[in-house]
Amino acid sequence: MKRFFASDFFYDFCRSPVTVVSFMVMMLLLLSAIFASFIAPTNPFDPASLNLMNGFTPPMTPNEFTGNTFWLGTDDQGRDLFSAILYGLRVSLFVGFSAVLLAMLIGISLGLIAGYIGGWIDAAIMRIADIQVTFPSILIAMLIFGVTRGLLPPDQRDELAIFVLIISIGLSEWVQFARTVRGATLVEKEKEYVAAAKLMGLGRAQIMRRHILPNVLGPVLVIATITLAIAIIAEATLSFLGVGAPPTQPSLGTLINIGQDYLFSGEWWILLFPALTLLTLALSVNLFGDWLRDTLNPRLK
Amino acid sequence: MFATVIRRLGQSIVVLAIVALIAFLIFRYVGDPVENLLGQEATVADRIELRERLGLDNPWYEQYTDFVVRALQFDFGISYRTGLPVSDMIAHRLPATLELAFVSATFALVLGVVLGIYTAIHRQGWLAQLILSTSLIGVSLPTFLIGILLIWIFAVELGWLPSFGRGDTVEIGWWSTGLLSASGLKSLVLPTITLGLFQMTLIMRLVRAEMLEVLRQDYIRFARARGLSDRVVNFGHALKNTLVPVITIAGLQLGGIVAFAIVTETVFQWPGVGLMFINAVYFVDIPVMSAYLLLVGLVFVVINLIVDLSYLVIDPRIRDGINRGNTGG
Amino acid sequence: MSANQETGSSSSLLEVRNLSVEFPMRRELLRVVDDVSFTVQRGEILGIVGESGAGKSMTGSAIIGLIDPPGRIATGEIIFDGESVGQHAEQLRGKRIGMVFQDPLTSLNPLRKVGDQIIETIRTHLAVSASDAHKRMQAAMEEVGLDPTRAKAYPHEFSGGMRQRAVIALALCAEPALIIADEPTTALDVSIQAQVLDLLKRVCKDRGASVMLITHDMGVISETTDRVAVLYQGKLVEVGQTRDIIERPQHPYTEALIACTPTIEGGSFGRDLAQIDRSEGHGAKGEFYVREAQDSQSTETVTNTATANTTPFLVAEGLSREFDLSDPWLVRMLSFRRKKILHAVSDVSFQIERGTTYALVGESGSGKSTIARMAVGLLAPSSGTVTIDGVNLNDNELGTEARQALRRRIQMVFQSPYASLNPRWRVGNILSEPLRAFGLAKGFETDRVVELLEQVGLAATDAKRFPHEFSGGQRQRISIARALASEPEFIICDEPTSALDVSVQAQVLNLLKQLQRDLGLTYLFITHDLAVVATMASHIGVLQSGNLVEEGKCEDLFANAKSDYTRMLIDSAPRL
Repeated sequence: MKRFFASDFFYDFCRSPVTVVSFMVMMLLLLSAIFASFIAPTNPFDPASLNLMNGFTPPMTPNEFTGNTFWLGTDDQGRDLFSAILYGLRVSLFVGFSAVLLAMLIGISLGLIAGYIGGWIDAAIMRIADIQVTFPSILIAMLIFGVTRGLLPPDQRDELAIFVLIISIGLSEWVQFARTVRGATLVEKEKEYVAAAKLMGLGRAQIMRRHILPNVLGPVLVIATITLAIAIIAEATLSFLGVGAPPTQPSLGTLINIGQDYLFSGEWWILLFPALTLLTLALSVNLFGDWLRDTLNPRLK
Repeated sequence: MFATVIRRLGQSIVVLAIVALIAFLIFRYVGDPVENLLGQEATVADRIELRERLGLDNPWYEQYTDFVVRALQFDFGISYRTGLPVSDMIAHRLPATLELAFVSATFALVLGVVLGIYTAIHRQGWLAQLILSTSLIGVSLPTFLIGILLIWIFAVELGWLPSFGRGDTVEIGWWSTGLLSASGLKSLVLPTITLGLFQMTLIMRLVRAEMLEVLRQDYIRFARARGLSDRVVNFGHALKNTLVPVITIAGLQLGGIVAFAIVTETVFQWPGVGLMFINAVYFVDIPVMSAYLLLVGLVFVVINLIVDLSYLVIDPRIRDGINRGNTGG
Repeated sequence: MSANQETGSSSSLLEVRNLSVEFPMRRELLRVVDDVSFTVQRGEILGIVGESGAGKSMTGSAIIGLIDPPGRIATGEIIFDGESVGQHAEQLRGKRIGMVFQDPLTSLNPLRKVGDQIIETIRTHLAVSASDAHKRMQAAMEEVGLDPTRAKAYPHEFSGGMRQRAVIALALCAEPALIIADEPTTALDVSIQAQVLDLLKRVCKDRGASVMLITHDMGVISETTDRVAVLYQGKLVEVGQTRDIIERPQHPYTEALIACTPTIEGGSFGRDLAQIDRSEGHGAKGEFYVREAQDSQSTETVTNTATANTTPFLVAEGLSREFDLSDPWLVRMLSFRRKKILHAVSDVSFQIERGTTYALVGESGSGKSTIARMAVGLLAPSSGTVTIDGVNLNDNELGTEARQALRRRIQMVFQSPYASLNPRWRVGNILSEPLRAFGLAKGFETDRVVELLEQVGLAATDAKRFPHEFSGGQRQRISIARALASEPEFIICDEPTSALDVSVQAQVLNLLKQLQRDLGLTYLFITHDLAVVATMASHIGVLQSGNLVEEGKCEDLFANAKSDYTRMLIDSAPRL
């Protein structure tokens, strides 16, 4: 731990105020999402707690009917926007992280195997990757989503939407991980410490796991951060289009969709606050990922 | 080199066949076509008759071939939602999407490359830093948000540009174009920026990163050591070498425009195939989904093929068969 | 004349005065060139020699103003042809000062034709018409020994030597007065190296141009330069006429450097080299002392048990190995290409006696690494056998246990100090892994690791560190320690010192010899450097393109080489 704080990495981090700020913002949003149920003054998705008369209240202004004040106002259903955003953030982040984890799992394993074992397994995996990469990930996600919905009975569609969302985004992003890990594996496997390990009689799986894997994970971190931003935006886009998180478990995208209807009739806050939150989230992740990529790339100095 | 061309063509055809297979599987096996076409009131006799007519009990490879043959004749079946032939729907809406996509792609490509080169050469300049910071926002803003924002500012508050639709279009044969009318052009502005902005920032950052990478290379150093001027080094040597990897990714990114068109069309109510597809997903309108998949698959495979073949023209090492690809195949 | 500083006269072509180059790092200010002064006279070849970290490349880059930031020239003046250079370095580049870099592959733009690159340089500096430039380009190519009809070729179509000639042509084509050549032949085979150096000498004498030749190889200096400047850790240690410096070095470092360099000359066979031992502390700079060369005990067979074993330890019989480099069959069919088979090794047979060192010598592409890998069991031969103490390595009947037992007895030390240790593992783990793999030292692994470390001259505390904390030479020691962990009888050394400085090489070679004496080891030593062979080996085999063209005892072979190829190799090797 001490070595980390004394390292060049941490030093560079501290020297870049933008990065420090974006990292802290990220953490703030993350923690708010995790502890949403404790922070939010209300649970906006519990129908019993809603009062339609609270609807359309501007921020920080007492409602003309009920006299309640809400920090960020309320939407058409009388839901407290602040709470809605917190819960929406939670959904967005949950989907985002899970999708990235899924993509990493698939991508790293396939990349490692393809790179180390080579031969027809490598060719097969790379073919599939090539075909998949021909199509933009949003499209693939939409397709998987649409097909799964077609296969599921209507009443389960909403419930499982979140998981379908995670799977579709995760499955559409594994290629980048696989390719990078495969490339790094190809380089590492020619290195002499691998030959030394073979001379000790170690098997393929042992060598892959103990020697190669730790050395190919470096670039993965950068890709993971950037993919996280992509996943968050992808999820928001899908939800906005109505083919993502349902209104019963809305993410920031869904909230924006709802807000769009009321933008032109004057209730601007219903759109603005979720939009700002999404923007801040994506921006901070991107900034951090950008800095990470520049720092970990030894040649770009 | 001839061999490489043949190989790429072959690969493309294989990919298309696989895409067609997936489209077919979706078309045939997701949901029940008979149910969807006839509704729940139909009699058993009607169902049997329809099954026979559609050939639903034939072996799968026959149905697949049938599907492909019909697709090649532009027959994609009937939409579950509207009852219209899918091919008519597509033909009607395709020009809108294509025009939008083309204009956006040009915008994204031209601006992206120019700005990318500028920010790479003037690494430390304040303008370059400013452009870079703004670009980060461009990458962090989802397309739909950009669209909404633009509508709010330019259509609602300022009233300069229309907020939805294509404006007046002119029919030329089967094609309908919005480029020939003032309102058509005005309607094109906001959607183009929305669609193109994301791609532009991506391309710009890509070009910049690649160019910086190239400028690090030994042969650039050697060129400087030979006394070649900065301008010659940057544009004569660095640029060409930068373009090679940029082409692939740019090509693929531009494919993204077709996908993101879906979002833009939704926000601006632009009557294109993207909007049609979204409605299909929402209403589980399988024939439309599968037709869209085929269409889009074709577009992407063609783009990929062009990109691969352009590599042959630019990089002499590939011409001679030295494999630089990611795939090792 | 050998002095620490040199004052220039107005007739010097280049004068460097008190040059210092600094690199501001995070914690300190690194002075890579420290108050260096020397001159280059018109028409002479000046050598700049030093080991890594001496600052020689930096000096070259400083002169033409190509130091990458954050490095910068801190103090000093560079005076070219009577005028101070200062900020005008760009104007001199190419036109008055030409530069040749080390790696010919990356020096040329891969996407442009070779001829075009030459023409471009010509037209940048000389006001000539297009057709004139074309003629000059062809003349330039001929001058460096390239066929002008190949001007339309791309760099990847040339071999390494040809590319370096093209690079020289590029440096010369605008007719500069001075050429700075930064390790121009380090990446080339020894025979090509001789040709390129000759070329450099010839064209410069023809044009009356001066050369500043930067290298780490004392032999190259001796054969090519008129005068030489010796750098050590950024400081100029000695400068003067080459022959004077080599025969009568004044400064202890120069003396040590020359003593460390292995040679082929008679009488040096089997002797340990002198060593430059740095004072304690990893990568410490500054102080050093010289351990004199010693006569080692005879490198003949050392038998220490009652078994006077006359059967050879390793027998290689008819070894061959092919690699199939053909394109996929579809491509071949359509472009009518034939199968491409690389015959890396063809019918090689040799024997190694127990306790001796057998050297396999060859240039790149000779197949020596392939043979090494076959000898150790990493690669199966296409035909032929390798038998170690009676056991056939590639016998398919061997059970897992027998195979593992055999592996224990054979180990390998690799070429690259950077790639042979897993960067994410601590040294202690790296050394204990073979213990665990072979089930040795159960229960007292830590002690055994300490024992191994001390055996190679490192400390017990080094076990906790990571490889990147060590210098190249220390890493090779760790590699050797790892090889010793399984208590092997046979170690294959695949170019173990090619990537090391001359003084570090001396240390490692001495260590290897010491271990051989103490533990009765048998070595197969792969190298391209004949001088190293003279120091290490008792027997030698010469490989050319996969064929064993000659073999025999070292003294015999060096005195009376029978094949032309061997003679060519011996003649090309630069000597002091």
